[in-house]
Amino acid sequence: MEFKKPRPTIDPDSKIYWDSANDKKLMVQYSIDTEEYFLYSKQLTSAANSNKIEWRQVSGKGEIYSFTIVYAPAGPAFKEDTPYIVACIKLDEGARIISNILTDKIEEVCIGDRVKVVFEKQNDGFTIPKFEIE
Amino acid sequence: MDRKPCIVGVSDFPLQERGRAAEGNSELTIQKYCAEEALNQAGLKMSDIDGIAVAGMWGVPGPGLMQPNLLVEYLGIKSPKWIEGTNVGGSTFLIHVNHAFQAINAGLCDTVLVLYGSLQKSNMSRVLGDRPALYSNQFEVVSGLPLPVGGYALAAQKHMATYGSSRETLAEIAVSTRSWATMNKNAAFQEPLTIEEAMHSKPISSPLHRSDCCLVTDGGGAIIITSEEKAKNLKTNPIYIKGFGECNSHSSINYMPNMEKLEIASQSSKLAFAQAKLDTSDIDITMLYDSFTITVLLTLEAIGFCNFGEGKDFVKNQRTAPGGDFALNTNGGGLSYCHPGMYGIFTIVEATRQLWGICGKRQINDPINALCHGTGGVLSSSATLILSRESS
Repeated sequence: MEFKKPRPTIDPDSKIYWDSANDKKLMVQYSIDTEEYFLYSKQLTSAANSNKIEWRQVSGKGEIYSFTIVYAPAGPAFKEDTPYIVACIKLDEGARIISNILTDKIEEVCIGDRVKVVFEKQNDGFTIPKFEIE
Repeated sequence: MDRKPCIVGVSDFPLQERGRAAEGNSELTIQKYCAEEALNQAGLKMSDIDGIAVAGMWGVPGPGLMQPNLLVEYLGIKSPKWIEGTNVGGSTFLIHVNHAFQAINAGLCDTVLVLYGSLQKSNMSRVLGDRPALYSNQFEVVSGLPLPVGGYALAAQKHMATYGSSRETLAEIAVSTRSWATMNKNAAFQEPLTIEEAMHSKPISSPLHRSDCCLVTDGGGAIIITSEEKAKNLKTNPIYIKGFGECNSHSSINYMPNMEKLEIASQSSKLAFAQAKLDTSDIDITMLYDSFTITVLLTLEAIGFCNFGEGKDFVKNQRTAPGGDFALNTNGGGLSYCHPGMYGIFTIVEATRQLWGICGKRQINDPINALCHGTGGVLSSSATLILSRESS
């Protein structure tokens, strides 16, 4: 039996992120009033009081804020990838993103490591922004 | 003040081998049993209940979306004047008690039944990867973060990098909690655990290993709260609700402001201590929701039992085990006693029993004040409750 990996339910707050990944661009939201970058949620910003929000392309560079090496996969579709890394990446512009770190040396990954985005096309054609150690 | 709210009855559902409910139960029969046990203990009848609070993860999609309706129907509770169905994860039942306090104190109702039941082990309904990739959680679900453990793992890794805590720190918590469980006949795991065994248990989502994770069990519980005036004529000594507080911050772990600090627990406990006019040195027994060992470490620091970063020294040398200076999670916790999915209610059940002095071998010496703290979601919601044998 083949298990399919989950794909996002794309909504108005995530559409441009996923669409632009398909064009190999990393885009996040930006508050013109508070000059803060964020993705999806305003919890880490003061942008909640701002109506002037736009999407901006960002450098795709940042550092590992935290990470976990996953041994017990999030369902059977991820089993063949184990062990794999899921990380919270803090982009240089300030926004935090959850994604995977692609590396052959998973035991060497540390918080604070510099990373850069890569756009990984999946078997079904869907592109996911992931990160490599710089 | 006659309306001062107090706890007058508690119960937990008896479990069989490794935390399984006896065959022939449903989530409803479990809750009926728990309700009747708590009512009998207090000397109350179902017809005395005029407020209901219930939450759970069963029956969804379907009637489980509106559990208070189903429970009122199933238990035959007539015309309740107060209904509560808040669900913010495992901290929920502490919040229900907080809200029941306000309702009773304000005269909206007299006697509240708080209920919980789960058959997640028997139904094998608990998996790490069934979550839909929706809203702010879509990014982590697409990335294969096992939930909820992976969220707690990110916080644990951050805490270790920031403060120098370690897997040994977490093992201290797993081992001390298990030591308490050896004295709880209803605990799923009663065999002692060593630091070595905890350190070498199976890795799940680094830095968390099997021994750092709560159990998957069935279970249920009930709490009855009434006014001081009504409590005078009941069979139990009233346990007073002295202070409470609640707070939340995020849905996805990515939006936890600082993963090494459980700031919402600082907020909720500050409110509770201020209302109770007590501080950490007044607390004789502490019941913290231990969804994972890291949850306990983060909560001890956030509540102020020690400073941020000092948790690793606080829990060293089995200080929180039986016979140690700090009585913590004396029922064996979600790590070793039971964890039916939303464990928070059991922090209140155990604290109440300890304050009554009925805990047998694991009874601590003459406690007066207890602190219960619930954490829900992925470190998303916090609720603190301070209970006391003394009314003022």
